Amino acid sequence: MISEELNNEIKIENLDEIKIKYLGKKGLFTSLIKKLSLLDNNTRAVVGKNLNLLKKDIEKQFKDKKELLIKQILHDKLNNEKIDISLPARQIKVGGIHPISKTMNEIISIMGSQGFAVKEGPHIEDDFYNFTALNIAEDHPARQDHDTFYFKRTGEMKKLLRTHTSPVQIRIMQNDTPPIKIIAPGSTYRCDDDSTHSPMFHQVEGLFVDQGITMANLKWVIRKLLTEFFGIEDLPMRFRPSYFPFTEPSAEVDIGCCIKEGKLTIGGGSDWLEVMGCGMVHPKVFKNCGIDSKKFSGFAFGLGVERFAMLKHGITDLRMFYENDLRWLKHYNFSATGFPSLLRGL
Amino acid sequence: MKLTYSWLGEHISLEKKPLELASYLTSLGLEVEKLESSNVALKKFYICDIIKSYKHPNADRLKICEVTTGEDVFKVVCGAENAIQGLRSVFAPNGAYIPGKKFKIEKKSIRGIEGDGMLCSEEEIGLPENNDGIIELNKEYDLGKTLDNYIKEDFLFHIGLTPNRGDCASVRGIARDLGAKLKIKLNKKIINQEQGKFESIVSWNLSDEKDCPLIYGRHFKINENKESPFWLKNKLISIGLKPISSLVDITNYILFDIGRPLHVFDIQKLDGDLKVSKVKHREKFIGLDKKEYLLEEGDLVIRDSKKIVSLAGIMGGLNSCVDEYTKEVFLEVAYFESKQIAQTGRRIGISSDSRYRFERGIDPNGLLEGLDLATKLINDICGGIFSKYKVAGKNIEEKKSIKYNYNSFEKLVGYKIPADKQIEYLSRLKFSFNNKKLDNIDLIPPSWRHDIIIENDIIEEILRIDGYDQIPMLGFLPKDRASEKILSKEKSLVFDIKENLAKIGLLEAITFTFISEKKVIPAESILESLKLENPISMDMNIMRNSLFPNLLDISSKNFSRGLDSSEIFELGYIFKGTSFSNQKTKLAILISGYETDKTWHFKRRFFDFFDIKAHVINVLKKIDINKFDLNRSKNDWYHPGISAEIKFEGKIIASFGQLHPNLEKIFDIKQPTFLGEIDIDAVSNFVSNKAEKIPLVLSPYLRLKKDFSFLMDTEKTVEDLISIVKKSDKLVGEVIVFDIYTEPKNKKTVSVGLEVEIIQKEKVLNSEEINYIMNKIIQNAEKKLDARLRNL
Repeated sequence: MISEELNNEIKIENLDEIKIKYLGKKGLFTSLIKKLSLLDNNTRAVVGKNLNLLKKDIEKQFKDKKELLIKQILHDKLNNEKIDISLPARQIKVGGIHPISKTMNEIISIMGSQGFAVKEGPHIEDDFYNFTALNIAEDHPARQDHDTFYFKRTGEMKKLLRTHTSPVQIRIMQNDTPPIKIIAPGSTYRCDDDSTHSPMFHQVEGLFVDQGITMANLKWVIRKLLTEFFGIEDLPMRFRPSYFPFTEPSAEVDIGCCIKEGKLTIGGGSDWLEVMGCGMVHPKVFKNCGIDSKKFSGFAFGLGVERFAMLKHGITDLRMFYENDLRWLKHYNFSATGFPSLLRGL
Repeated sequence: MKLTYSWLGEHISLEKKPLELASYLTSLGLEVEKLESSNVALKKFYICDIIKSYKHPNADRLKICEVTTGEDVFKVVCGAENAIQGLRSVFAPNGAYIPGKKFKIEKKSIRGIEGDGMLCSEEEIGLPENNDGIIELNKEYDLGKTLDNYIKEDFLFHIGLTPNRGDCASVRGIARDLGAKLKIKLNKKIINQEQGKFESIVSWNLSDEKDCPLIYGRHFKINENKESPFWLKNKLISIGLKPISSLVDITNYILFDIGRPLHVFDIQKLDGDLKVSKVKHREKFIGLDKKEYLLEEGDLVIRDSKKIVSLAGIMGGLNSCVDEYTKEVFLEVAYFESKQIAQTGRRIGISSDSRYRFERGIDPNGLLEGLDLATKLINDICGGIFSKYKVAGKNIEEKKSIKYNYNSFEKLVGYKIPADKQIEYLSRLKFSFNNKKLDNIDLIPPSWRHDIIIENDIIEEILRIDGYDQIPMLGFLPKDRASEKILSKEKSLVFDIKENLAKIGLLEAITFTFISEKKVIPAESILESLKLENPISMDMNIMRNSLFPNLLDISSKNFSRGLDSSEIFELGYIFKGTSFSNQKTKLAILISGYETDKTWHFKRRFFDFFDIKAHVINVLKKIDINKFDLNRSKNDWYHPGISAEIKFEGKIIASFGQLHPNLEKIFDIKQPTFLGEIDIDAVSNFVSNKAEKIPLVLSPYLRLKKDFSFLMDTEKTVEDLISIVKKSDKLVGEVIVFDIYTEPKNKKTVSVGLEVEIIQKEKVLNSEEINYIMNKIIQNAEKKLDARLRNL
């Protein structure tokens, strides 16, 4: 009878009512227990025991029913609280460092791990540091390749914007004694402005001067830089003869690539792509800096940061680096965590 | 420098295919930038017959030709007189590229008639011209076949010459280098020295033997100076030059063939003898290009008794040039010093093939060869007779020998090549030598190599022949003699700051360091010394003295693109003068427009002063600059009432605020914009080397917080109130401002809601103790700041 009643649909508020009806002070059970005294001892013991068992069973049935009802209520409640999970999330602001910074950082950390210290120099230079000391005389044809920005002459010396980071070499060699092991990242300037030239661009210069430094050391470190930067262990690389007034012998460095239907893939393929220049420091440059070229030798290299960034990240338009279109900056956004903190301890 | 495979083959016997040859050239430092087949374009040209030809209905001079390639019949509109029925010629369908005229045929109607393509002339296909009009072919050319079947395929090499290799600015020069690499001898062309039949009426007169040590000349009486023969025109066309007349073509040919620049004068246009001298006073000169140039003192010229007839080694004068009527010619074969030519050439800005070679240095031993070759060609092609040669000057000094030690190679390059092999390489390059000893030798470079001066140059020559791919790779230890830290304290700080700003949502911008002087604020701070003499444009004519102008431009540009929220920074250099010490490192932050993108979550707001304040303080906090003086800023960039500057240890290290409303127009700013700047040079001095922090003891008790609401005069600052509250008792901890309210009716009083933490360090405080502290706070605020507790 009770089970039947409990199986019917009951609301949780009514459950206690029913419970009282059977188990309450005036309930069915109490009255039965009261009637026990009318029975003889033996029968009373047996009936009493059975009644007790029955009571426990009923109590359990009520307890189970209650739990069931609570579960159901919670379930219904949660079902009603359903939200549209497809709605847009709250905005988390994502910043980033510029691809030029990112690329420079990568180069600095690769070279830093080889022991090259970061040095900087002035952007406003004079003729001596930018040209003469680097063995680029006034009438040298190489000067024509450097479309130089000049400042209006106000003092004794005509000032200019450095056309490459090489003047940093001179400044460091003048003031330090070998061993010298540096890289000089920074902006450089040439007065040229079209789709493949920007009046300001960035270079990283490297210099290692000591006793017994050879071109074999140069080739090794360039290979290290290129394979680590592009993340290709077996990157094809070649050195070929070239000319820079401040190095002799000089080389240009090509890496293997594949150009198919206008798409460039670094690595395999049969094409070569020029990526940087390097060579052994010219004895005249040593002389200009007061370093004995009989005792010391050294290598220098230079590379274009924008070019490295373009090759690695497939950026095709040089001008966009300086446009600072927020959409572009967000697209080529690089989390700033790429810079190994290890370096700071070195 | 351009040259063809076949032309190269005249100087050296070629066993290698063009592609293979290209990689040898590149490995020698003669970088092949491009290798083109001459026949690719020819595959689009079909041999055809004209089957019908009649007058164009709407144009008197045009014809309609029906042509066949065997199967199909095409209609062509043609203007050539020789386009007559029965002629075998060449047809190019629409879409074909016409190399001689550098265009692609497009389908279009000519006077109402639409053609299927065109009938071509030699010139259009890029062949030397034989006659006017379209090509006339005989029956040996099969109908329907393409032209590439009949023209021998040739290849064009585009070589990027480095400035030191003037000796390779000729086909023979390149053949010579290639020969040294591949061990192939140059084909020697034997030209007989002809003596000449009469005395030249023109003589040389040298007044500057330093810049022109030697010069030859010869007088020719020719039959005619007409169009060049087919072979000569073909040669010039094959490397992209335009044939002009026999005399000009011959000089161009010799220039490209053996690298010997020449010049020819029309004797009938000369007055008397020729003199090589320097300009004394500024003079005008009209070049062959018909442009007028202003010559300055020191420029080397050739003049007759009346006028300048040539800018030596750079360009001839219009007043004495040869033309179709020329009958008497004077040939100039000179040696000019490279420095002189470079100086004048650079100043005047003429880039001629002659200048290119002279300023890189030509072979001083090649003058007579040039004279003989030119004599032969002029005589063969133009006919007539020629004089004995005229010469002035003296022979050019032999090169000095260079002492070379065989061990130097290994010392510099890092691997060993035996001495005899080194000598073999050098003799292949035509070095001569003396005093051969066990470990050293005296070397004399060949006369054409002006770039070989020191031992390193010789090492490079040996290495070029052995091949740069022979250089081994030899590592060194990373810390090998690295004498110092990789990053200076300042540089490290720069990286940290960039990283931190990027992490909290700012985008890094990198901009040009030059700006428009109109954007230098205030205008009185413009320094003349920072103005560029030759800026790209007036928008970039002065070095920036602040990072703000470019950031504002970015913000404005992006706003006009429809991006209404900018949060950017730049960390870079500004310039207070031209010296290195005036190159300063600054950080600038710009926030502009809305604080977030549009969203359904809440009503978005504009950035405000406290956003920029947060950014600036956040950066300083990272450098452990926590306590500083905050004052109102007088900086011209900011709104005077909504800006501040930060002083630390007596120095202004940062400032921030709203863009001054007066500047909004200059920078085209239409949305609320806030700027902040930090002096990186200054703050990097305060970066502590210790990474350690003070030990922190955490209280085990519940955090006790009490709210206060004070009313105070708006002239007083909340910062003062907080500081007074904090100093009231040593158990007062953090103080948070949770409410600021100024009644619209009473702007002199502000209500400030503060939540004050009372620290329970050692024990839980009872209500008496708490009340004691709270009373002290209230009394202090009242006494020191005249602030009252608000009656709630």
